Amino acid sequence: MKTSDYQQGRNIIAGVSLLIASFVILKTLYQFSDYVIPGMSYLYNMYSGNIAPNVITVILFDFRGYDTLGETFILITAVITTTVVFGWGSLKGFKKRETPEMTDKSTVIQRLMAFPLAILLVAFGVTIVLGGHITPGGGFPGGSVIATGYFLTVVIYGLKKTPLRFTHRYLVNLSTIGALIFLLSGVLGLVVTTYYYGTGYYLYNTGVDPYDIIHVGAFGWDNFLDYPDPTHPGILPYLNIGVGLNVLAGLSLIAMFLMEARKDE
Amino acid sequence: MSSEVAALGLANQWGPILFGLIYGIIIGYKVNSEELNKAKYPVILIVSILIAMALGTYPDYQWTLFGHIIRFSEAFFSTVLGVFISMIIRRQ
Repeated sequence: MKTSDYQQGRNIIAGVSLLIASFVILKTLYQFSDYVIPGMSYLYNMYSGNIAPNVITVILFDFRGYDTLGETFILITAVITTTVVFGWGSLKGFKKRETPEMTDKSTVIQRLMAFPLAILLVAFGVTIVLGGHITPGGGFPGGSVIATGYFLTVVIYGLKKTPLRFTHRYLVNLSTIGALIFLLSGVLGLVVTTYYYGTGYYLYNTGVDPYDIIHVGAFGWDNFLDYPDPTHPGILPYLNIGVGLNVLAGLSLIAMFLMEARKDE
Repeated sequence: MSSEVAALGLANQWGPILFGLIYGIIIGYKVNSEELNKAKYPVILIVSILIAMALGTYPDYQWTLFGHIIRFSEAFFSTVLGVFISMIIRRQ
């Protein structure tokens, strides 16, 4: 298949997807009042404390899930802006520029310690991500700590000699996968609540019903999604994992582009 | 803390270990192991064990073995293991 044929097929799929999405959004907006069941909100407010493991996660992910989704995409926008301003042409495989001279000035102690420290920083960041639903932490702080490990190696060894050999494509893929985990977790809530209540709630915390009150966990949904943790946090750890991937990739990309930028630009 | 953790039932959980390994493998896949002196492997492992012991049950998960509580951050250590596993796989 020629490249042009491949692009043509992709354009057709994108066009059909856009049409379907537009139709669903317009139909929903037209009959918006019919689609909302106020009782569902009361029910969720009543039992959310039993569903999520603590009040913070109830507020952060259950009540303000859209806010977190928005923050995730703000980060993607920031990465795109940085790419446009500082990394112009880098994604198309242009020749990499030399790193600034500051990397040649690192001392022996810095070179000896930076990489082991970076591995430990990465591990600590992952620990923060995985405890986000039961401790202060989560995807954003954890992802930032992991990206700090990358900053450290890039600053000490320089972009060409850094042991953490992230590439543009790898980081873009990681960021996209992280955002997709968040988006698809929301779609699961939409599907399950549509099945049970006739109306869909995006980012509804499915897979959790420890007291079998609202009967969301039929057909093994709760077993399928249940994080192996008796607090039954449902999709919350997966949202954290997605946000963590997104943040670590986004911040690392920004660091990479800033290091590649010339001083005179 | 330990009694609270036991009361919550946060003992012997596989979630942090599993996802720590996955995260470690994802990030470790891009590590160039040639840059790392082989003598540093055991040093990093020992240091990570010490840090995991210092972190204790953070993030509130713990393992019980023969009725004894092990104060060890398994998410931290499994991530370091994941990075090393990924580096070894890539070197093969």
